[in-house]
Amino acid sequence: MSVEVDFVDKKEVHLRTLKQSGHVGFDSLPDQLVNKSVQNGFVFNVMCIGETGLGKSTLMDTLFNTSFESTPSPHTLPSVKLKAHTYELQESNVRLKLTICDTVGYGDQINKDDSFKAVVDYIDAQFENYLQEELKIKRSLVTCHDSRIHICLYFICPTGHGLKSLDLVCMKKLDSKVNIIPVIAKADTISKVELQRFKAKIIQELNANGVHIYQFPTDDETVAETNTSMNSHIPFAVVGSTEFIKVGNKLIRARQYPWGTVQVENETHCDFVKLREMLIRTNMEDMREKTHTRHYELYRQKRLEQMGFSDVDSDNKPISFQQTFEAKRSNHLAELQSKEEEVRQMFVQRVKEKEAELKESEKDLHAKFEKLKRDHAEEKRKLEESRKALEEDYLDFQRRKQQLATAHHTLTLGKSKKK
Amino acid sequence: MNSPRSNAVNGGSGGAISALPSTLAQLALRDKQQAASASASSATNGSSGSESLVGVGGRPPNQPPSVPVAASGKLDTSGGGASNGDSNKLTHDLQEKEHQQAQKPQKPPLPVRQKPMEIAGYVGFANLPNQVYRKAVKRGFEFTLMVVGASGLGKSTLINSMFLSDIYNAEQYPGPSLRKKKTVAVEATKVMLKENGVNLTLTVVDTPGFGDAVDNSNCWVPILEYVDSKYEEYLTAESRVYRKTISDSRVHCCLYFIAPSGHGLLPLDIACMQSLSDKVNLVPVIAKADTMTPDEVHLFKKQILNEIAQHKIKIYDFPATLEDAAEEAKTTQNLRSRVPFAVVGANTIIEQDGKKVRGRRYPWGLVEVENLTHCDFIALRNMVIRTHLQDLKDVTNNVHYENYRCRKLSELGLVDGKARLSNKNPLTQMEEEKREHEQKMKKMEAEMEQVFDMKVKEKMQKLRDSELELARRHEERKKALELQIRELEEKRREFEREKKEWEDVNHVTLEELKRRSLGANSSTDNVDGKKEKKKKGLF
Repeated sequence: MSVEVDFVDKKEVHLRTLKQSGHVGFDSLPDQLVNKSVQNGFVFNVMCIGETGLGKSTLMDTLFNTSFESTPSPHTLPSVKLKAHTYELQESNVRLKLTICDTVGYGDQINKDDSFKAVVDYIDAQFENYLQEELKIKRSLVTCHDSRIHICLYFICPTGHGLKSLDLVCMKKLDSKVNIIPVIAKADTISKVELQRFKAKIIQELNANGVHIYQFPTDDETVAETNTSMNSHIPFAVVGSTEFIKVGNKLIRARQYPWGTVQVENETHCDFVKLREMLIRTNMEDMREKTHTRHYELYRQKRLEQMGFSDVDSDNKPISFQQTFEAKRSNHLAELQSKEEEVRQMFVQRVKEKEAELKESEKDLHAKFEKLKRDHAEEKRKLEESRKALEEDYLDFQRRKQQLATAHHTLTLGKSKKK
Repeated sequence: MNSPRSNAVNGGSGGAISALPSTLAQLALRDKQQAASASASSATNGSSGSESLVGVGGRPPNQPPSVPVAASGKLDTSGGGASNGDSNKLTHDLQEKEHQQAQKPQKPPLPVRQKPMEIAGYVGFANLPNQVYRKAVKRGFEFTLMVVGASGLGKSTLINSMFLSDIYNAEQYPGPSLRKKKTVAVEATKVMLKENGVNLTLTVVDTPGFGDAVDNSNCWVPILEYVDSKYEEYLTAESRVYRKTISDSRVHCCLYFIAPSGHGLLPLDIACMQSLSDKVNLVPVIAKADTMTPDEVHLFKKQILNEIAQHKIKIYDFPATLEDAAEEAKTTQNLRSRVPFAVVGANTIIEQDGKKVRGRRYPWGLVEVENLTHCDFIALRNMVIRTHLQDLKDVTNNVHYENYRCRKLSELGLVDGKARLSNKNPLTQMEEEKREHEQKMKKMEAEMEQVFDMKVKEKMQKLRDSELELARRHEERKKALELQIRELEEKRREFEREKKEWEDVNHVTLEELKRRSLGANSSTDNVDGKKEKKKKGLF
């Protein structure tokens, strides 16, 4: 039995480090963790961004040695469509739930201003789905499907002259949201010398515009050397092929030309093997981890701040989610109460106004009828006067009749006297 | 021209590996070397150039080896999720989900359009477990173990035996029995352990004074509070806007020490375990088992299990690991059947028959701690540490912590004292409440509007009625007046007609008559003069 010699980490001086006098067995912890991961299966989500016809689907078929049966896309789409397909793959005892998201129609429009927006929105929507699950009261992070994009392969058109404006704008929008690996598509159209200059040009333009692409991690000694070397080969120049030719006794993926045969997995022909090694065989877990611990965390921070949450209160004192939520809830309830009161007050005001209005109408009505009443009284008075006038006339007439009758009698008497 | 690279199934052949660039070849070879052993080399020790597996030969020869990974570098595992031991409703839901997930049919990759003859498609994601492995080793592991039981039951000794370290020692770090308090306290001891490159930060939580008082009512409450406080710390850290790596100090496992009375559980044991079983992974342990004969141990175990079932105490159910081979499955099943573990703790190393063993020497014999025929120590250590340490952490995270979080956040959603039956997060719930409130406000507005309109209509109607009444009365008066006017006019017409008739009859107009009347008056005056004359003449 030998006792392992320990070196105390400086940062853990405060923590007692003990030596075991034998084998305890917790060195099986990584195996226990890995066994659980294998039982649950792995999830990997790839997004391919690039213009129509650059060989995105062919490369996916080549990378995963599978025919994904994707449909070629025309150049006529008015906007970019995100199409995601999920496949269940298995290799040995490792199960992989692979989702490939294609950007159909990217770069085909006359005005490409909105091309990257659909992509950004899609990536954010996947983050939002995860965030909503995480914030649920009763949640199941273990079993819910994780659709966040772990890697974005950005296909660069093999112009040999550098990046297009759309490439720079799009990658700049994406670099804080997703791991980007730029890929030179259809690399068999560029000569070796041109390719080196093209790669250098691309890297220079990315740096000049502040675009941060995914760096293969160098903090793990096991893979540090390889990853450092591969970082200097970025962007990978790749060729994809779904055709096989027979070379010797082996069938290999290749593209047959009259002037020669491009072998996909020949490292002197293109960087396909490097891409596969880095993407799948070495750093897949790191991409998943970076997506969760960096890109998702960044999205979550912005989103929660948007919702009004903070780690400190107005006095810059630490405050917990519960406290923030309680305060927010109090404000929320107070706001609801205030709105309700406001509505009630508005109605009270309306009632008062209406009442005043109706009172005014009533007053007007009464005034109107008072006037009518006065007019009526006036007319009545006139009528009385007319009546009196008539009576007087009548009496006068009667008197005149009497008088006339008397006059006739007098005249008769006068005549008698004359006689 | 370089020869084309080709890959065979399950990795490259020797020739294929040699065809790789040197760095890639080294990487592939290194991965296989690592996978071929039960543990990875330390990420912090040695250079990346060449590595030898330290400590492999140093294992005690009588220790059962860890589950070896297949030499091909691929893990021999089959599908299906591990089951969790907890049986409450939420756990059942989770188990159902995992079960459903496990039941998903395994779809093979879609067939290649042209199946290659001598080339087989090695994509390489089978290497993903190795990547996870390296990440895990680099991060290190944390584990919190709680020991609960009365003084003098050998808790410190067992912990030291389990981890083969002096976590507790008499001089500087005495065990809980030597730190007696007047009341039950909860104290944590934190140490760093390292084994074959795997770093483990171990926290041992003990409870000095537990069960030692005259009145032990609620003496388990500080323990529950400690467990909850760790969940609360984690929840707070998880809920921060800016999150860093969260240190996990939650209690992953609780060893509950049962006194070897042989008569069953004490009421204190029952009450305490009932309180704990919803919050932590509870592993019952019979302490000082060397005080009972094998038959007594067997009966005691049965009785304990019966009482546990009778009082609905949920203990950690060690799930069968599906990757166990047939032979190891038997061993595992055998170990699982030993719950509750009857253990003996010993710190002394005794030499017997040329071998050093950990044990307790009595005049009648030597009790070997690591002898499965003597006690269950090996079973306890193997199950807890060597095969189920990660599961204990996972169950704590996915079941107990989620239950705590669910209860905690559900309280946030209380409205007027009633719990909202909603699984949405409180934020979404608040937004929903806002929408509901807006709808409620709209409805209230509509109702108030309706009432308002109705009342306005009523008043308008009254006003209109009043107006009509007034108008009607006015109209009546007007009609009456008009009638009178008409009557008066009729009378005047009648009078005028009468007058005309009279005037016609007498051939004189009233005007003439008036003029005559004036003249008549003059005549009358004359007449009067004449009369006076006559009178004067007579006289």
